[in-house]
Amino acid sequence: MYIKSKNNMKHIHILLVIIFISLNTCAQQTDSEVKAQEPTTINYKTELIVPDLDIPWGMAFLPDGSILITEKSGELIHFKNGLKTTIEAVPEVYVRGQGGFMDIKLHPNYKNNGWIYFSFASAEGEGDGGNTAIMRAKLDGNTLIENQLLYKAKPNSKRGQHFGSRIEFDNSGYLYFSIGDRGERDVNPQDITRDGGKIYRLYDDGKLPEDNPFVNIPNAKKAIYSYGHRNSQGLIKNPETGAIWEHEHGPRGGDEINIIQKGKNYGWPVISYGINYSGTSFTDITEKEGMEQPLFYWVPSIAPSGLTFVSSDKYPDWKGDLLVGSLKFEYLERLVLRNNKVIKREKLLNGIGRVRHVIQGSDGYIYLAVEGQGIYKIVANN
Amino acid sequence: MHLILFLSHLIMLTSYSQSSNLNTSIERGKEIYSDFCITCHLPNGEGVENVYPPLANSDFLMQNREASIKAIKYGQKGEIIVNGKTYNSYMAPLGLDEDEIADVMNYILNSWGNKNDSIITEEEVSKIKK
Repeated sequence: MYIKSKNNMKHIHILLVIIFISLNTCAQQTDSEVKAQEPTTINYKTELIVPDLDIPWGMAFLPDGSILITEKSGELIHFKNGLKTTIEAVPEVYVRGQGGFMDIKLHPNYKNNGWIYFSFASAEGEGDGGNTAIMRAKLDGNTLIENQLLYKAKPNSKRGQHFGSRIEFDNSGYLYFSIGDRGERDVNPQDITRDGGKIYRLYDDGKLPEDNPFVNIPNAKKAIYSYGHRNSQGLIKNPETGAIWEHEHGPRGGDEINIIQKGKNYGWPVISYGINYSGTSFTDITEKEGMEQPLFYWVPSIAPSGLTFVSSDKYPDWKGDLLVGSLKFEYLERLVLRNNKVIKREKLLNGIGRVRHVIQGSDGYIYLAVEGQGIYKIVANN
Repeated sequence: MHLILFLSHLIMLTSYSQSSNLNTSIERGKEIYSDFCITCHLPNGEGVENVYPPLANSDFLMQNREASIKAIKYGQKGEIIVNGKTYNSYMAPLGLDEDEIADVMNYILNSWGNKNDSIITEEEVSKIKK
């Protein structure tokens, strides 16, 4: 009897060892097919045009060439003629974890209507914590006026992750924005009756478009345009096609670039090229019917923030390419595309710092916002 | 005799409750860590070379209790030297409550080979000013 139970113990031990090993074995990942290279020649350099910023999350150029800059800590800065002015009457911002004052974007017809759109984490509504909000307002001197809350995700949460919050307009004037999964991977992204892990579409005044994909689904959040996203901090209209492109953070590996299509499911977290931060896996599959494949995925993750196409004539070497900020590796990534496929990747400005945002300004120049530093402009060498 | 017994029991109880306070704080701190810190400092506290300083076996963390609390509470800007290497990345204030800062400090001070028996309390965090 004693011997038998000892044998059982031995079996249990072996079983435990096997379980332990399998839990701790790192999941296998396939690196991105196209690797990022150092550029061979570079004909451009940077100029620091706005110094001394902490986390410049968003930026927008006004017609007079001055810049509106959001600081994650909750300030809206107007940079004009070398001076910073803090704008009054900004919304109350819930600053916690990755949440704060985030993106800012002018209406495509700003010159005539004066509308400025921004996103921020907000504690408004029921429950502890906060969630992503979209507001528009006008600038009157140094004050925001006519503040209108267009969307507020629910419920509030004290979690620090994944507020998303990039804003973009398409050629028809629809307003798009991203809201991340708020750290509720298994609850939010695949459920269209819940906020989080989605790209949204509204009219520019916040009204619901009648032909949004889920308007006829009971209980659905009807502003949802696509779902199954993790945390998108890059959203841009392709100036050639008019389509909305996004990128999103994966966990460890599995950052993605997607072209957003109405009503589509982008698969997070059912399919993913990423694994948990700890190295264990949460899914075995990278594709599934009814779920979109990314246009490109990054393994290892670069932690992408900010996304723009180079369409101006200022950078002949880069025209038509995508630029993406890397928070993790502190460079600006250039992705060369052919027929919607990434054929080359380059690390620009390696070591510049955490690149939070990159835009092509209305003057055609590329500007990047770097954490702990400020805003740089990219100009020709000579 | 009775008094001595009573006192020794009291001491045992207090020290037991201190270590159990520390353990439950560490447990809560682990949750905070995986929510707010893990993306940069990574699951084993190793950080990212030249960008995010390590917390595991970090001389800066273990020898600068107040500065470490201050960094979590108000953010960290400017150069710091960790294990002989200079780091100059910006860490924003995380928006954590004071009890959460105490918990996450207790977690990082007692993980990955780090050891610190002297518990950090909400009160200690509240006294640290900018």
